[in-house]
Amino acid sequence: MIGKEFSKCWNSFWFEPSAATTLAMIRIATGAMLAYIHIVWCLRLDDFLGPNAFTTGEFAQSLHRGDFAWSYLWYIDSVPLLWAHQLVAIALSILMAIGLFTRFVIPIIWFMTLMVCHRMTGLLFGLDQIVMMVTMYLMVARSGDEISMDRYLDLGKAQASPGLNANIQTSNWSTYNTIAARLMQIHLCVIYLFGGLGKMRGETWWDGSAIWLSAVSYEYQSLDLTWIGNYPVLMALAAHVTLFWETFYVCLVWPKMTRPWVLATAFGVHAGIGVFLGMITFGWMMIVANAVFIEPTTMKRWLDFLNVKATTSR
Amino acid sequence: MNIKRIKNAAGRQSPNGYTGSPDDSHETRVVVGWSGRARLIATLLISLHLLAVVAEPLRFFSRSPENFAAADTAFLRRTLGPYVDAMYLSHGYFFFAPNPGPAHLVECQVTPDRELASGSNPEADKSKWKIYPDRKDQWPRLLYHRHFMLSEFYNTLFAPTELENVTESDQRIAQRITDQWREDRRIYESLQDCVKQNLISKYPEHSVALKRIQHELPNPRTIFVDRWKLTDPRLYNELLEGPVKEPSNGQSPKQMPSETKFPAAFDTPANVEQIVPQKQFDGDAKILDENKEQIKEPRVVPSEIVPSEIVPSGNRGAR
Repeated sequence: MIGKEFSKCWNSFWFEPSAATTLAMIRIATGAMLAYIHIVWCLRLDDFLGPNAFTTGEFAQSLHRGDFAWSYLWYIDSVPLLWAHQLVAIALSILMAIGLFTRFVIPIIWFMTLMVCHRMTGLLFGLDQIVMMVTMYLMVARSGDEISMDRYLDLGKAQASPGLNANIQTSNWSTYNTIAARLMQIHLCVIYLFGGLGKMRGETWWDGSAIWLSAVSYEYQSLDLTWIGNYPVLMALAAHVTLFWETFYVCLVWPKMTRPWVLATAFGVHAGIGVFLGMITFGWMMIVANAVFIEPTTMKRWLDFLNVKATTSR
Repeated sequence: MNIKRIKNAAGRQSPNGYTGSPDDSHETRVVVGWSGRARLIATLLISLHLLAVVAEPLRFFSRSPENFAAADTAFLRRTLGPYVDAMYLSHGYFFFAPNPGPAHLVECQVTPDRELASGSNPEADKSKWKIYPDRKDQWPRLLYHRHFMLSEFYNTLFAPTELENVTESDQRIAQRITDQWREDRRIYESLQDCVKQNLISKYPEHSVALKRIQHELPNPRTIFVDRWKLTDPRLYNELLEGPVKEPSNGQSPKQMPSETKFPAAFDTPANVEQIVPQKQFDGDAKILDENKEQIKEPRVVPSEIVPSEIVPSGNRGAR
């Protein structure tokens, strides 16, 4: 009996088909971010990937000796070839964002970026981890079914030849969307859980000084936050809210009653990191990743409200 | 797979409401259902993947100065290693944890060979000197952040020029410490060579010397009472490359501070207590103590800066 109930819940959780609206929005933001990341690598291509890079291919390879990471970029020293690689990556990222040939493009851009990550070990940070995580799950999803050029072209075809494909006129709910969203949600919970547990080990998150230490880290700072030192209560409160929110995100993000509050806190924390600690890209991607907890139907309502109807599934 | 067309499929809602919605009653949608066998295979794959997702953070979290990791988490990480490494899942996710720490910079002194040969003062011309990271030189912010990660990485890989006073009585452990230091030093020197070569390729016939700089985190008193700016030169300390005494608490030598100088930032004048309004600095004494402790045992680098997979094993206990 319990087994049956569990099986029912499990199937409902993982395999009940869902719409792609939320994932499509995440795809757009992630594709744009991937394009930006690759453009920034290009700004100093010689320094990052060239034969005289800060970390050469040979050095990167030696760092991964003994593990299973691999990159073909370890063996490429030709600057024109590296430029070609990066330009293709930028083009594919843009295709991903606009949703053209989505099913093919996302796995390719994920793989190309993965190769860059294994090549650029040491110059990466949370942004790369989150972008790769989101892109990996978007490979599973059918995020191109909505708000995409693919969808737009399909609708065009259907209008030109009625009866060609009646399914095109309908919304395609897919189990792949559900699996991708669930994996992304759980992965995000894992990230926050261990981030929170890690902070639990640090005394400055308990005595409230962690916020001050972050605020006076000049290399991170993008806006002056030292004024917060005048408000010890505010500092301690911010540290404690971060500590508890991050640790208990895994529990509180699932119930409908607490989810909006947890997501609103996520927005506040990551916007704060982006604005004050100079990691606007990382902060933005964390907000994008958190959007996976917004139900597709809710997202669709918001889009309808904003009048973004042309390529949604209805 | 079972494909069926559903009309008015209202009210089908999963426990947390992600799938299905009563609002969709007017829609026709194509529902692609999965067969039992497909669901079973998917369940197995999903379970394996999720184990891989938690394998590295679990291993990372269960480490101690004595152990690489707890036996179970080490087993899990080892078993799923190929997948975890290949898929770029090898992260501890310790963002700004356990404590935010000081930033590290790399100063690159680029000097013409002829100047060095003639013995003239290389400090005279600093126009070619580089600092990583440098907001003025590296823009947009993401580009700056990449250079920042490089300087933190450089500091994390640091291994002293020689290892002094290995007092471990067990010969095997002493040998292991020495071997580990040798490997750490080799990796550190490789990175040093790469960075130097990068600059020499831009400035042929020049020599490059690299310095590690630690930017200390000031306490509120230093900022509000002493009126120091965050960029005050007194907050920047050069970290030495020289030998580091073996720690007595079983830590890796790499975890020890390489600079013995007590930063001026924390050398607060004795009369400050009278000047500082107590209500403003309730937690100040604690922060001061924290920072002093930081000098004895520096705050560790946030893990978002350095993914755990690239830290040589000798330093794995550090974060």
